[in-house]
Order: sequence, then C-alpha cells, then structure tokens
Amino acid sequence: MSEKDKIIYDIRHIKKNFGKLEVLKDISMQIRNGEVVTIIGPSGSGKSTFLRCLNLLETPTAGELWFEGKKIDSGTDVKMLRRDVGMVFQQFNLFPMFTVLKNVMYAPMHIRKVPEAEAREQAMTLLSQVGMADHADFYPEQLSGGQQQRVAIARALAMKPKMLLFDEPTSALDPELVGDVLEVMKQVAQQGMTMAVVTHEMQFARSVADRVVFMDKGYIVEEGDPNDIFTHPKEERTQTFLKRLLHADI
Amino acid sequence: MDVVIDTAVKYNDIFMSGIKVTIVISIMSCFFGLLLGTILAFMKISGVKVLQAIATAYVEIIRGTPILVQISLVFFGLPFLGIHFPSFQIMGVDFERLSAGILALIINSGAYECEIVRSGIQSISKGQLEGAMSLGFSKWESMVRIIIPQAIKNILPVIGNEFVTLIKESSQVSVIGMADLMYTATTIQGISFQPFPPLVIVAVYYFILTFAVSNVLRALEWKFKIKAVR
Ligand SMILES: Nc1ncnc2c1ncn2[C@@H]1O[C@H](COP(=O)(O)OP(=O)(O)O)[C@@H](O)[C@H]1O
Ligand SMILES: [Mg+2]
Repeated sequence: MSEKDKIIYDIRHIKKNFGKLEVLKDISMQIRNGEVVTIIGPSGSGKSTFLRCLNLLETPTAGELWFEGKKIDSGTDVKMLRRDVGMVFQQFNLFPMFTVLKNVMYAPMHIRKVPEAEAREQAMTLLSQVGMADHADFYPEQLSGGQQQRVAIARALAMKPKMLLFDEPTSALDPELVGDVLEVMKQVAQQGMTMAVVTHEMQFARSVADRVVFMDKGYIVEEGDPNDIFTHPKEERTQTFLKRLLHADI
Repeated sequence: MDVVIDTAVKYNDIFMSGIKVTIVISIMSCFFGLLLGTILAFMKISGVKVLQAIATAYVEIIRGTPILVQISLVFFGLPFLGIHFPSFQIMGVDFERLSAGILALIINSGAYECEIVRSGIQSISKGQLEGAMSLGFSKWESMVRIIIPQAIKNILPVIGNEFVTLIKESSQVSVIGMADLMYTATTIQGISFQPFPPLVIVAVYYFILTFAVSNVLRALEWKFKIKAVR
C-alpha cells in the first residue's frame, strides 16, 4: 500500500450527545493520506461537531477514533494530537493583540520551541504563500476577513500539521473575498495536505475535493465523488438539500 | 466662605491625615479586593459546581447587603469570634479599626471585582481559547498567554471606576471610628463647634480626589489605546 493510500484518520461509529440532544448518531469515515474530503449538509446537522471531534475540541460520547493507526483514548496526549490536526475556523480566531507575523510565529516558538529567527523565516515563507507577506506587521483588525482567514491558514500550517480541518472557512466573508481564500486552500491541497473541509462552495468541492460527504441530522446520508453527488445524488434528502443550495445560492 | 477657608487652613493637618488614610484604605481594598475578586471569578468559571456555588453565594450575599452593615459586622463580629487585631497607632489611626475597616472594604469590593473580572474574561470570545488550543496549547497555557492579557485590557478601566467608587464608599468606615477623611469632618465639627464648614471642605476634597483619579485613569487609558494600535 502506498503512502498516499494509507488511512490517516479512521473514524468508527462515533456518537456525540450534548445532554439529551443527540448531535452525532453514528458516524464512520476513513480519511486517507493527502485526501481532501468536503462535508456538506443543512445547518444543525452536526458538521461542526463532527469536525471538532477530530481534534478533540469535543470528546465523542461513544465510538472510536484511530489517528495514524493509534487509537485515541484517555492516555492520548490531546495537545500532541492537536499539533498534528490543525484547524481553521469560520471566525478566523486570530490573536488580536499580535501582529500577523507574530500570530504565525507564536505557536511554533512556544510549542515546538523553534528558535525565533527560524520561526520568523518560516512564518514569512508561509505568509508569502498565502499572499500576506506584505501585511506581516499589520494587526488582524486592520485586515479584511479574507486576509485574516489567509493568515489563519498560514498560522495553522506553521505547526506543520499532518492534517487540517476547515469549518466553513469562507462563510463569514463578503462574496468578493471568498475566491482568494479558496485559491489558497486549493494550493494547500495541491501540496498534498490531508484536509476535511465543511463548505458549501460547490466549485471548490468539485475542483479540489476527492470526496463529498453529505450529512443530515447526525448521520452520513451519502458520500462519493463530487461530480456524482452534485449531478445525480441518490438519496432524496441529498437531492432536496442540493436543490435548496442551488436556488438559495448559499 | 471665609469661615470655610479659615477652617480648612486651621485644621489642614487633620484634613491631610484624613486624606492620607482615605487614599491608603482605598488603594489597599481595591488591590486586595481585586485579588479576592480574581480568585472568586476563577471559582465561578472553573466549571466545578461546589466552587461555583460558593463564589455565587458570596457575591450575591455581599451585593445584597448594605456596606454599612458589613463594616459593623466585621468590626464587632471579629472580636466576638475571638479574632483580635493588635491595637496600636499607625498613621494616627488605631490599627484594630484600620484593619477591620480595610478588611470590610476588601470583603465588599471583592464581590464587585469578581463580577468585573469574570465578565472581562468571558467577554473574550470562546474562539480565542479554541484558536489557541487548536494549535496545541493546553487550556491553562491558552488562558495565560491569550485570554488573560486580552481580559486585563478590558478589566483595567473598570477597576479604575471601582477605585473611584471605593474612595467614596470608604467614607462609611468612619462609623467604626476610623480616622479617614469623612471622620475628620466629625472631629473638626467637635473641636470647632462649626457643624457646616468641615462638611463642605470634606466634600470638596472627596471631589478633588475622585476627579483627579478619574482623569489620570482616562489619560492612562488613552495612552494604552494608542499603544495598542501600535
Ligand atoms: N456545545 C454545545 N452544547 C449544546 N448543543 C450544541 C453544542 N454545539 C452544538 N450543539 C448543537 O448541536 C447541533 C449541531 O450543531 P453543529 O455541529 O454546529 O451543526 P452544523 O455545523 O452542521 O450547523 C445543533 O443543534 C447545535 O445547537
Ligand atoms: Mg457549523
């Protein structure tokens, strides 16, 4: 089995309850090395919760998570897992008191103990990659949402994760800023990053994703090749959702 | 008017020592109140039910009873419970009264400063914590490195207001015979047989104090803000 086909994340029958509310009912999924999976589904279907289970911002109520062949249990170092599985949020969550450069350098310096000069150099390289090098000395509040999100992607990449989670990375952006962010994500994907992306940007899903997963009410209803899912979905719920998505142009 | 000025000049030493005491007790109770308030705030957001319940009960009881009652309870209650502060003179004030007065003010302002600290921390979005944790910082590191520095920026101006409030509220410790600025009015009323002028003088001094402190704080806040935008 080649490196590329190796399963990096094996999700087995996970459930998540918030009190009495069952948000994830029985989710199984395998994500392969270098694969880009997009997750779509109506609001409230549990997409964010699922993603947050993958870096243990939420702890699944039941089921098993296997990352790189190792089962995640009470003995797992959650901080180590989070270094390997980075996350990009809808609201960017950049640190407002730091400059762009410091936002990107901060975690490598303090967590991986990278020397400052090296961290700076690496951060500048990443910032040029996302087209933000000329804004290195700016503060987040001085940037547009799209620019903040590109910095947030650089910040996540700076920890050299093995996989990245994106939770609706373009939903908080003005429409004209979405393209730049998607372009950066596409570039990251082409460099071989394993990605799980909750998004409703069909164009992105079609041109970048290897697989689309449709979630509804805490279950995976259907999954497959993006072009198949978008052109002839098998399940009725998927059909209804896609019809609404196309018309509402979310 | 002349009477007022004459009184102010004649008893200047007494007024000044009263001002000194008022400033000292306000600073002490604001500072230690902040410490107590911070501990209570962390109890409240700890997620540990017992600690939360204790802190909540404390804050509610203190905020629901008059400060005058609290001061008297501490002053008369401590000896009743067998707790005695040594009795000697410091800054012209009986140490026993001073300690009881400051302690009462700390107990009181702790409750208010708890709410200031708690809302300061909780005003920082959960996203900041998750942003830091998603990079691999522990929850504790994320609090110390990311949340608390931002919270302090929000909290400081409000603590400044609390300090101004304390300058005024602390006047109530004069009921237990503590020689703060308010108490000097009573003293001088007694020795000068003039009921009115000392009160006017004391009012003016309180106003000068709070006005000066408010403006200094506002200036600091400005400087802080300008710095924050680099
Ligand atoms: N921390 C939480 N506590 C309680 N309920 C939650 C929490 N997080 C999410 N939920 C609930 O779980 C359901 C799924 O939420 P979410 O995963 O955000 O869905 P999606 O991302 O698909 O819109 C919603 O009903 C939401 O209200
Ligand atoms: Mg969501």
